[in-house]
This record gives sequence, structure tokens and C-alpha cells, in this order.
Amino acid sequence: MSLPRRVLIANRGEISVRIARTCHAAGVEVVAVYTEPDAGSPHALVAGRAIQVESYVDPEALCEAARLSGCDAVHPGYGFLSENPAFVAAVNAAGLTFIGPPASAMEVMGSKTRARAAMREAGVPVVPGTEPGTAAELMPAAVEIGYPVFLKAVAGGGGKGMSIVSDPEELERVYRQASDEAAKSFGDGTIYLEKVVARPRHIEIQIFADTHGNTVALGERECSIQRRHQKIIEESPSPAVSPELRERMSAAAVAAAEAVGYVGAGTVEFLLDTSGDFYFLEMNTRLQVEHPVTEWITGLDLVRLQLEVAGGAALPPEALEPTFVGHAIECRIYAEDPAAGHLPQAGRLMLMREPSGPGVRVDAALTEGQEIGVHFDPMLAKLSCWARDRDAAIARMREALRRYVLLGVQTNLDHLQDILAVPAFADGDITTAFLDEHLADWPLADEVAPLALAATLLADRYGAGRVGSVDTGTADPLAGDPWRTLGRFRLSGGSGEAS
Amino acid sequence: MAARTFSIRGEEIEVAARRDGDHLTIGVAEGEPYVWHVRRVGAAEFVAREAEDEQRTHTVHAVRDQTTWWVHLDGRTYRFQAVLDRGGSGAAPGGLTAPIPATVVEVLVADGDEVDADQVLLVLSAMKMQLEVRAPHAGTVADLLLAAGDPVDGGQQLLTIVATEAD
Repeated sequence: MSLPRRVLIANRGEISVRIARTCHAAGVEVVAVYTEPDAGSPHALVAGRAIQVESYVDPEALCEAARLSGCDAVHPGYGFLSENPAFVAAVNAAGLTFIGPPASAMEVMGSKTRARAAMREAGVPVVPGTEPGTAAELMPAAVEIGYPVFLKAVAGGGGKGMSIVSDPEELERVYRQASDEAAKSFGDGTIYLEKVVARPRHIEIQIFADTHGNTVALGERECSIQRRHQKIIEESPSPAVSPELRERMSAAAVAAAEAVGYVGAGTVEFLLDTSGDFYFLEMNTRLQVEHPVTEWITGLDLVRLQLEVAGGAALPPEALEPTFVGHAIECRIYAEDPAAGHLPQAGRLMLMREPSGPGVRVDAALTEGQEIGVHFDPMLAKLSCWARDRDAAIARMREALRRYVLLGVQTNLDHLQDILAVPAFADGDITTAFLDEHLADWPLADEVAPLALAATLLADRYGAGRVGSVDTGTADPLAGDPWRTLGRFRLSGGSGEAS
Repeated sequence: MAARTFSIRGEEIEVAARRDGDHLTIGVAEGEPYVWHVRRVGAAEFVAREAEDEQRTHTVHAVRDQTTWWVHLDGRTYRFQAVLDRGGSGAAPGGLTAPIPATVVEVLVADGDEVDADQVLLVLSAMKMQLEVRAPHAGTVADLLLAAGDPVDGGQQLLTIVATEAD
């Protein structure tokens, strides 16, 4: 089998480290890239080879780095340029292999309207909606689709430019308002109408395609626990997906991938409503952040499969006929303050203890002393756990979260523990509105923590907390200088004086 | 008695510690005090064993960044703000710290003792040498929580000499 010989990893942080891990194990050399402030970052240090670049998002500079470092392939990771067709074209033009789908598949899936049209044609269910129109034109469609409906700005996205209408009498008024706002915010007041999916779950299907005509589904991931429209907990299998539903969703996801000539690892995202109907949301044309969940339950290494497919191999039997064992959960650990709107937090990571044990995996690229800035995504680490069943996986995750020590920057570790402790979570009764419905007022109780205060004083008395900290504000910098107050030195056990 | 004040959501809470032989007694505001036997297991890691139930231990991880304390205890993370009531550095003026990691060989004074300038207070042992720690000025011994045999870290506060008020 031919694998790439040397791969440029056009990314940073945990995903760069994770890709390097598999490459090294497969005997594939890697070259990491880093910008100047990232020179000491773990991803730049563990790769074995690293090259400095001006930016993580400059296609030409990255291709030049790949050429200079003698790479024959480029892995984009996720984020940055991973879903940029111009980057794929630049990599190919440089005579290198892009580890991912062809640019043409990316282009279709990258456009909301083109993707919807392609999916409709392929028989993949999409959220029922209309073409753009006037309020009068949309009125009959609203009746047909059934209230409540969304009025959406064509130019909107990411949760912006959507208004909900529950009452037919209100449609015209809300339409005018939405159109005016869209014109003001996006410079385009065009509005279309879409069905509101009731109490939706976010379910996605991992797919994998090779260049030999095989496209397989590798099970679903339930990603309904979100904050600010971003996932924080993912699991597989979903408590809401029966074997029959899994089969239907998998078939739809495979059809979606085949419709655009997909190759490599990809994820088809669906909204699942309470009646078991599901609708295409979008396709992520790359390796997903939460891919460890799928690796846990399938036993597959998705990065390894990416390398094999990029090398022209057919998918191996264990991917073509996947078996799913047990249950896996992933928690995303962020530098953020869950009590203050999940605002990203900066700081210096002064102390770190990562959990371990059976069925526990940490994907991170952290070191003590590292400055956590606000320039990149505030995700610090991914903690994932596997066990025989869902209850055991939750229990294992709660214990692993308790064992995760990250001091010096505010994280969501406690918040994650409290999410897993909500009875509705244990019941599998989760929707994208879970946090609003169950933990809107977090922290629930004002945790007066006398024991923790006592522990703090204990540490203070024993001189802890000096890990790299600098005392300032003392008028006399030598005040309390220990050498000043030292008396004579004596050799231990002897009587002779050394001073 | 060594005391610190912490600010939690605008509320100030005083925490005080006292050494009783092998045990550390810590009182938080008006609550029942905690009595612990403390073992240091790392620069920022301690195990506190309860005096009343010696099978019960708490693992404490703690670091300080200026006046902010970050503490991990029994699975939860806490952030406390230390209120500086005596000087601006977080350490009391007159506080004596260990110059290097060492072991306490001898404690020659006790909390509340009046001492003269240059009086020997403690003897430390490090690098096969014994170091005498002397009073930088006359005053009263405070914040002394050490006993012979205790390991101390470089920079760890040993005790405080509260300067005698000028007449």
C-alpha cells in the first residue's frame, strides 16, 4: 500500500498533534507549521520537523512551506483552510496530494443554496422551505408547511437573520421587520421561508469514501448539547437513533456524499425532529473535531484511513463492514466562563494534570506555563471516554472530568460535570435547547466553599502558588530577601564553620 | 495564628490557620475549623488527611497568579481573590522565605515570641549544609506553621516577624 511519504500538517494545536501521532505510527514523516508566537507550542515541537509560516490561512505560503520541506501531501486538519477549495487547487497545482475531498465537492457543499439543490436532487431530505419572495407570496407556503415557520434572510447565517412566526396574522408584520433588519445588517433584505423543526436534535453521520467507488457510513454522533450554536458534548450511538433510523440516516448520508463525488472523511449533519423525521443541515468536508467518538466505537483510526485513501487504496474490510461496540462520549474543554455567557478567557496555564485510565482519551496540545490567548479557538482539549454502555460511559466521563486539573485560566470543566449530572441527560432526553432548559442559571447554587478556602490557606501557608508568578508592588525589591537574613552556614554533622 | 482574607463575589471571608503539633487547624469565617495532617506531594500539590477520620483525604492542587488563587479540590475548580491587607505583594512585610528547597532542622521560636534583631529563629538543612534563619529586625513571631523535619520549598514563607511598634 502506498501512503504519503511526508505530510505537511497545515494546522496547529491538538489536531496537529493528533494527525502527527497517526502519521508517526504509520511510518509517515510529518512537518508541522507554526507562526512566530506558536514557536514553542506543543504541535510545533512533537512533529519532529517544523517550519515557520506567516499565517495558517495563506494557501500559497503553506504550499511553499510544503515544497521547501519536501512534503508530498498536505493534511488540512479542521478549521483554517480545511474547507477552502482554493487551497485544494493550490495544493494540487503544486503537485502535492491534498488529504481530503476534491475541490468540486467542497464547492457544492460550501454553498447553502447549491448544497440544498444537490441534496433535493439526490433524494436527501432537506428542511422544507421556499424560494425568496414577498410576504404575500410566502403566505400560502407557510400554511402548507405549517406554523411555526422561520423567516430567514438569504444573506444571514450562523443563527443570525432568523425570525420565528407562530401566528399567520403576524407574518406580514414580522416579514417587514425581518426584511428591514436584513437590509440594514447584511445589505440585502431578501427573505425566504423555512419550516421550524420542533425540539430538534443535532445528529450527524460520519461517512468515508475511497477512490474505488466505496462510500460507507460509520455510525452517527449525537451533538445536541450546544452553547452559542457550538457543540460541547458529543456521543455515539445517539440515544434517539434506533437501528432502523440509523439505516435510513446512513443511506441518506451516503447518498449525499455520492451526489457530490466525495472522497475521504466527511460528516453529514442532520436535524432530527421529535417524530423521527430528519433533514439535511450541511456537510462538513473534512475530519471533524469530534471524530474520536467514532474511533472509540468502531476501533478505526480515521486519520490512518485518510492517509490510505489519499494514497489511492480502497477502504479496508473493517471500514467497509464496520462494527459498533459500546458507547463513547466526548467533552470539549474550553477556556471560557460558562457563568458569563461562555466568554472566551485568556490566562496562563500554570498547572495541568490530565486524567487517564481505561477508556479515557485526551486530545490536547497543552503544556504548563503556556499562554492561552484569544487569537485562536478557545478549545483547550477534548476528553473522550468509552465504556460498554451509555450509563457506564457517562460515569467514566464524570470521574475523568473530576480528575482533570487545569489551573490559571477559567475553563468549563465544572459546567461539563453539571451537564452530565442533569437527570434528563442520563435519560437521553437532549435537544439543542438543553442548556437553556436545564442550566440557564448556572452555577445553580451559590457554592460557598469553605473547604476550598481552607485548602487555599493551606497552600498559601506552604508557599504554593509561586509557580512562575512574579510578585510586584513591593516598595523595596529586596525586602524579605531570604539571603539577607541568613546567618552562618555550617556543614551538616560537622562543627566547622563554612562562612 | 496566620490569617488571610479572600474576596468571593464581593464578600470578604477571613481564613485563619494555626499549627498544633502535627496538625494544621484552619478556620473559615465562623464555621467549624478543619483539622488536617498535611503532606506536600509536589510544588503545588498537597494531601490533607482529616484528623477526625484519618482514612479521609483531600487532594489539593493550588497555584497563585498575583492575588488570584486557583484551587482544585475534590474534582472542582475554584478561583479566589486574596485581599491584600498587609502590603502589596501578597506576602506580609517582615515575612521570611526559604532561599532554596531545604528541610527544617530546628525551630527555636514559637508564634507570639518577642525576638531581637539578628536572633536565630530557624535552622534549615540543604545541600549538606545547615542554614540559620535570623530575624531581620526586632518584633513578634507570627505565621509560624513549621516543625522540625518539615520540607520547605525555595521561596516558601517560613514565618513572619511583625515589627515592634516604634514608641
